[in-house]
Amino acid sequence: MKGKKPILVILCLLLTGCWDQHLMKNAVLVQILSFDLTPKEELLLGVSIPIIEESSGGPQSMVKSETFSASGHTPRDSRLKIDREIAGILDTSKNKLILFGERMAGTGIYSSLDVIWRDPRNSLGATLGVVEGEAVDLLNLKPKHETNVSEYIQDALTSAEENSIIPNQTIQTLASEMLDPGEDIVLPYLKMNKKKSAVIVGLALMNEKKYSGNLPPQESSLLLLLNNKKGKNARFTKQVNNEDEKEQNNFISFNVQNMKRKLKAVVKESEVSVSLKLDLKISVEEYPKGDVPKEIDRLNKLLSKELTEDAKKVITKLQQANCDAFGIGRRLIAFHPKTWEVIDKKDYFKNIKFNTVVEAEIIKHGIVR
Amino acid sequence: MKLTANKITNKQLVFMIIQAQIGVGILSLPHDVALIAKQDAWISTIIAGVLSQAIIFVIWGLCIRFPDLSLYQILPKLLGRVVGKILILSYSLYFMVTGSLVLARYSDIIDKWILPHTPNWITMLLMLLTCIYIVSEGLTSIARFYVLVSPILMVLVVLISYSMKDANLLYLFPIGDHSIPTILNGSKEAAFSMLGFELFLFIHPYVHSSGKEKLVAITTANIIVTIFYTFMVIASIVFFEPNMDIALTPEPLLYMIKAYSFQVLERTDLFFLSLWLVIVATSIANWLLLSSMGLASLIRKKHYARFLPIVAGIYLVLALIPDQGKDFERFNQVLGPSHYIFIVIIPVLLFILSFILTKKEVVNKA
Repeated sequence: MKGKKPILVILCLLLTGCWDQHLMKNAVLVQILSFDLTPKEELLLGVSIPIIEESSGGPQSMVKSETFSASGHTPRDSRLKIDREIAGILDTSKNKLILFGERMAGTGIYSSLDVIWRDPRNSLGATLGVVEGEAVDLLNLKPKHETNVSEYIQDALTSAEENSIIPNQTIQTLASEMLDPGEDIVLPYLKMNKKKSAVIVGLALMNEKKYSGNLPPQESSLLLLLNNKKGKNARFTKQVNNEDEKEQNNFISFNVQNMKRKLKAVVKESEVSVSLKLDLKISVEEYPKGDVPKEIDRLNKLLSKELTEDAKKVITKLQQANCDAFGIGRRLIAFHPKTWEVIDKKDYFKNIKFNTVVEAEIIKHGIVR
Repeated sequence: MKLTANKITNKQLVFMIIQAQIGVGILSLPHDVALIAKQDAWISTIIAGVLSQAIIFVIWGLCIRFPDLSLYQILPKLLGRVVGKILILSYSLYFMVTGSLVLARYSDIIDKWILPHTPNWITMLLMLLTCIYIVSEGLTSIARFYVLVSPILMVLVVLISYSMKDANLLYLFPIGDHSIPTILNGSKEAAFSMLGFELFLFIHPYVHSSGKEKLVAITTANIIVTIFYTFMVIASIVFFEPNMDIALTPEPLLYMIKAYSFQVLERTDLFFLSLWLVIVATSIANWLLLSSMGLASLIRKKHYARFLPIVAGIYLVLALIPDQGKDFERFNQVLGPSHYIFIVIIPVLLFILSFILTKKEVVNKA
């Protein structure tokens, strides 16, 4: 014990780690970051920070949020400006969401994200999103049922994820796909509607690192199914009749229970064709006309036909946006490296011939016929 | 020499070699290999394991001819006192430089990932104090400690496996697309991380088992390490795009698990790093042991423990010299050839010499 006393003293002094302590009382946690381009082509950074208010009377304290923004040359530059404006030190280590304005996303999202990858304290679990118009406007929302705007948008995203409108992804899983020449990413596409609330309006299609198009929710779900990335539910509503006078009775709503996807890329004389086959087992959730079993064959056929056509539409839109969400290029690199070498690496996706088939089969129709 | 009190068992030998081989390199190995061999990095890693096995055979062959002598005693016996002593000195210098490079890389990673404001010498000093404490009690307690901390390797495997849910197996293809020289070049990088089995040269007389059992032990260790490394490399390749992304991330394994957070655990990388610290401590302790054993046999002292503070001081000074990534590269450039000299060439020459001079230890069965 005698010889160990000095060691103990040294350890007590050194192990407290005085140099690297971050006190929570000084930190201002950022919950959402937004990136926009100002008319002067400068970067506009917006941050949403939570404010905890002791409520009068109730034991629960309210969490509200406040938004700050500043323009600068780089995200760090703008951040310094915001830092001067608020009390405490901005801390992005708990950031959950990064939003890009449409114009910003159009010029590329990779360079603004560099700082997130570079600084070890940043959270890589954050998700990305693209906003129609200016992203910072979305942070300024004052939603009524949820006082904290970041909670509000995140909950909206989570439910969209469950309904297979947007894929489940984080900034880290996106990094590889963004850098991969043979694969492109899709991001949640948000919008502020007239009632001043945020809506998820589908997917933003990215061409390499740039925003190049978007898909509405129904087509987004179909794309996720085609890409084998189904969430918990995937619901569709389709018109299957047109004789009934009452509009409602012409439609069917269903949820996808199980699915199987087959994707095969074939190269013939340096021409790439892809056969994409999707088998859906669906359960009917709403069919006001009634008696599903009687019409089951007709419905199966009709839905398969309609979904196949929709899928073709989705793929045409993808090709217009040059967004290789399926990672066909990666398959070429992996299995046909010689073809990949000679192929046009930027626009290869536009020239791929797709042979898409969707088969739908009703396996459940609830507790009535 | 009276060593009966300080013997280790054959099983402990396995764990000692494993801990010696797996060290600071584990974090950067996938990056270093994939930089050269791209998606074929895992082939390079397996080849590196096979190459180390070849060297292990030679080392074992040398040891089996002198079952009661460590390399520090073989050297003067085979080459005469003067040459032997020079070589002993250069061996312990070599271990000092290698060890302090490991120390420097460890504190560099801690500096980058966790404690950017803490002065590096403090993290180094803490590490050295721990290592001195591990080493000073003799081989038995070192071995026991190594066995005790080995389950940590399993935890690392589990953590990495969890991140495999976001893997893209297509990144592994096309298999074998790179030329054989490129893959071998990658093996060279991987082989540096496999070093550590040379420990056997110095501790084999203290192992309580027959020559054959010892060979089985180090071979087992090497196979386990090769599988472990290959798994880590494959995991990084399927997680990161092997051309661009992995080139941007010098510590891919850390990056992989940084992205995940669990209910009670955020920044999983910090958790990973604190486990990794133990793995680094064991390998620094090894080099500390080897270099102070060298100094002790140089002036014929029985116990090496008294040299530990001096050697640790040298480590600290050497490790404080490089302070940039570029310095590490230069360090490595110098150290690269010396690895070959000390781990491959000298043991092989000694092995051949022991036949030519027909020198063999007279085993007295007393």
